[in-house]
Amino acid sequence: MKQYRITVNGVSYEVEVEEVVGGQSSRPAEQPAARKPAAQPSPKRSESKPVSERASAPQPHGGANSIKAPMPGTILKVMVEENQSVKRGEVLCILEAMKMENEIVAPNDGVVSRVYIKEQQNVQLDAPLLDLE
Amino acid sequence: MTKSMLERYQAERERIELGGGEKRIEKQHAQGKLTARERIAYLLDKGSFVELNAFVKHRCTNFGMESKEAPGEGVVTGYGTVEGRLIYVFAQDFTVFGGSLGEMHAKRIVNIQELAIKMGAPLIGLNDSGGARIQEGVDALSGYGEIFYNNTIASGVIPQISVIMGPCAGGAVYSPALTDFIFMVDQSSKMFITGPQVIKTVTGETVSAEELGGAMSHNAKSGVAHFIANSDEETLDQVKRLLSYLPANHAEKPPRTEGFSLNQFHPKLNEWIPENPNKPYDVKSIIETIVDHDSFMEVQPYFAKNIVTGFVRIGGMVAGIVANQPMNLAGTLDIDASDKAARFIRFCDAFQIPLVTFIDVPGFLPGIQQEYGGIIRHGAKLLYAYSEATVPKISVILRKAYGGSYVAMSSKSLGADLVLAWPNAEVAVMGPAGAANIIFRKEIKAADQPATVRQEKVELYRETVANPYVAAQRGMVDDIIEPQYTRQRLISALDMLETKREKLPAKKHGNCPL
Repeated sequence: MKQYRITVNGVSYEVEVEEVVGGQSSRPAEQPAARKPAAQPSPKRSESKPVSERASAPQPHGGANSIKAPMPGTILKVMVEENQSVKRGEVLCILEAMKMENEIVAPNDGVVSRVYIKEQQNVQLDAPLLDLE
Repeated sequence: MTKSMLERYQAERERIELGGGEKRIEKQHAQGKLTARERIAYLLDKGSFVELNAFVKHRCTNFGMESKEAPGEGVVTGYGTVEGRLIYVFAQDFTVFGGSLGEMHAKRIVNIQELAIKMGAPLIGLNDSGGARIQEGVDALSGYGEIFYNNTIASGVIPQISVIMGPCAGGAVYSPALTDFIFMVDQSSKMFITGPQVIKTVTGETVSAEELGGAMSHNAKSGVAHFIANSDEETLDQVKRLLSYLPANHAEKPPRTEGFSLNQFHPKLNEWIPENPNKPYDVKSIIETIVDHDSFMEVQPYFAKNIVTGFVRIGGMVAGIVANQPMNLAGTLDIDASDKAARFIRFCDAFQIPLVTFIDVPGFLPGIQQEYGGIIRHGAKLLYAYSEATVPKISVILRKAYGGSYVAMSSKSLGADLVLAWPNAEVAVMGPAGAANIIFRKEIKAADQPATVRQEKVELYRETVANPYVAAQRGMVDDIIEPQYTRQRLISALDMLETKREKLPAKKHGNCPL
């Protein structure tokens, strides 16, 4: 059991917080408004501007557009055909290796210009899988 | 004091603060770069910067240098605050002799390095320099040496951050390389030992400067850099964010902020892991779900993606995260992943940042390249770093924990303080399919329908061995928890472990396999 003093609109409340384990309660217990404890000056939040990394992060500069096997394994499934256009992040094929169905995704938007592989085919490390244009 | 004295002083300071002059400042701006002083002003709290040694002057008389002025000697140094906390900073000024490093330029940097070590405050270096000032010959070389020496002495005492905001070539790269984190600005920064021309002459290989030593090359391929951003401003914002997780020095604890809700459950985590153990998932979404909202700052997001490292806050407490990433290379450990994680772990240990490890590892990556590349030597770093770390160590087994890779990933036997496992965890010497093939080889071979028998034996193995209960019976797993309560359990564990005291036996220093 933890005790907190919470000030809301200048009114101070004493609150006891109990950790519920195994309970059904799954709603978030507190809303952000009730988060500031009284008496202490809140330390400066230093995350001044969390740069929205996902949105603005620089993308790896694509070199050659040949997609190669990241590790040796077996092609489980080929999802695309030649001349099909794909979006960045779209799954092109599934390579089973290390007991994992690894999704090989398109590094950028483009058109599949060539497919080198068939299902159930074994591939070596760095073997060409597909060409993107 | 006469009026003329004051005027002389003011004129002198103005001259120095103008650096290489309006024209060169314009040129710097035209390239999309800020000047050294603008960068410092952007990084530090407003009005907090105090410059030191602004009046230094080179002593070089070779090649007509005696008549040449280099205001500030091509670098701006001093101290100030970021979010109210003391830091030391130097910024190389490309407008003055291309930011080239001579004797007095180095002396200014060395001075604040020494102050930073004595005062126990972070040192931030903003690099933008054409290299050594060749006219000064060995004096310049000696300057580099002194900076490298101080970087090494400061290592583990104070956080050292390098920001590459222009060229940084030749020997100069070793100062950033000796520091804890390297930020690079996309397109405008370059790092290499030998540039494209030299490479072309010596080996005949053709490569552009960007491809060879650009920000993305070092973030994704070489692993030299840790962070990348699009502009000077965005990069400096990231530096500020990183500083918010770090203590000022090794004797301090990282800043604890007001935490987010303690009682957040995540029922969706109970269904998160795919039923089929061969299906990948993104471990980063698990991390982001469990930690305080928006607090995950990933370190080296583009390098060795099969392991995820980064800083987070959990209930307001800073922690370093290491997690296998099943989405990449099946989450195996390879040479680069071992190096990346080991260095991150050692940083956290040096600066009292607790380690939280999320485990879903099928093994070390097999292959000739890996063996010849020295996966034995590199993998050993990971074991060494975890074993040596005396900060609180918490492990959560999400799914697979097989063989040697399980031992390497902060297992109880390597000194983890608390090992938790999700109910679907498979803690075993190897995966069910492989193990069944070995243990029941004869029975499978002799059977009328080998495939059916094999499947039965795989299930048998999974039932009896590949679960969290055997490890929990032996005390190698301290508790099995429902995924939805992971956040609560981590907050409770970090709280409980906060007073951890552990001392290694007296020694000069260990011999980490490098």
